[in-house]
Amino acid sequence: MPRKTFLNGFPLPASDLNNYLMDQAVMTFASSAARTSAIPSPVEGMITYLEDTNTYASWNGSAWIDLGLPAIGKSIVTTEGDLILGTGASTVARLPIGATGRILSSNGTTASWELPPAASPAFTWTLLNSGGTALTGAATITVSGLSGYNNFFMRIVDGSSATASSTFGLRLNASTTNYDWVGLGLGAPASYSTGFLTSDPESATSLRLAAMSTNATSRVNGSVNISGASTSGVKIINSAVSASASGGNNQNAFVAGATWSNSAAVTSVSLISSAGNFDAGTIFVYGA
Amino acid sequence: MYYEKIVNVETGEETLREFSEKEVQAVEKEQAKLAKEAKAEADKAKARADVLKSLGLTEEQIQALIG
Repeated sequence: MPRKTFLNGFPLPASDLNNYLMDQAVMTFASSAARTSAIPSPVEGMITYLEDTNTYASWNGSAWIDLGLPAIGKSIVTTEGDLILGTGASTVARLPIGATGRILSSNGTTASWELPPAASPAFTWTLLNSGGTALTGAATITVSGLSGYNNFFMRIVDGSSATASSTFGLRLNASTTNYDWVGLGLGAPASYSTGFLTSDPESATSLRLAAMSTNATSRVNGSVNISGASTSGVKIINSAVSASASGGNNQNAFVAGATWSNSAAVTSVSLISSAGNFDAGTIFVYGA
Repeated sequence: MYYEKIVNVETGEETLREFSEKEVQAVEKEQAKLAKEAKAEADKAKARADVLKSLGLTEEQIQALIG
């Protein structure tokens, strides 16, 4: 509808009043139904207000378009850094700027300023079995009560079995399944053979660490790292353990990486002698 | 007798558990395997020594020959 300029002295018919004043003002209706009834043929540019929904709309030539009024006023924010926060459907509120160092955080329902999560502290290693555990009197030595640590370091010092050629192995939580081992195996046969150096993947009931020589006084030394121990994911194990000849031969050393696929947190580590009770040595278990 | 020694670092408690029959069998199987391997090695060494003796050569001499 074009704008009309009325001149003094001209007649003002009802049609002009309707077309140029009534229809160009904001027309108020109880509902959209009332609007349709009152304006069956709207004209492009008409603006209405509906009391039931408190909304303004404009006819664009084919439909009533919600004008989104009232708009959010600038006065809702009062301070530099303030944010406008939705507090419900079509409802907003001022979120004052957070205190220094706070970050905007969601709890899944609303947003607020919160302290950032504490940074993870650097590893602090603690010897868990004070003085170490003697490798004597048993074919399996288990250090338990290890919950709460995500990383373990084991140091095997001068371990030995009463039976020559015994293989040392490792188990977590006494489990005999889901160990997958890859690494470097070094043997020391009496004379050279191709078995001197091996590299075969292995799935076994424990992780091979080393094997004593053919002399029962052979000593096993080395270390094992376990990471991801307190998580529900795969545990990663790295080991480097060897044995002394001590007058014998055929001792084995292994430098290996392995996984233990088990969702349980590690609560115990067991050192195993495959062929008999340990008779010497100490195992130290550290946690971080 | 074979045992598992369990040291609980939280309580300080130390316990000794006797191996189950199945665990004992695993240890004895391993011992038998190692004994067999040791005997095979000993037999091999004896056979070598017998050959050297029949040839009238010492270990050092045969090493010198084969390099």
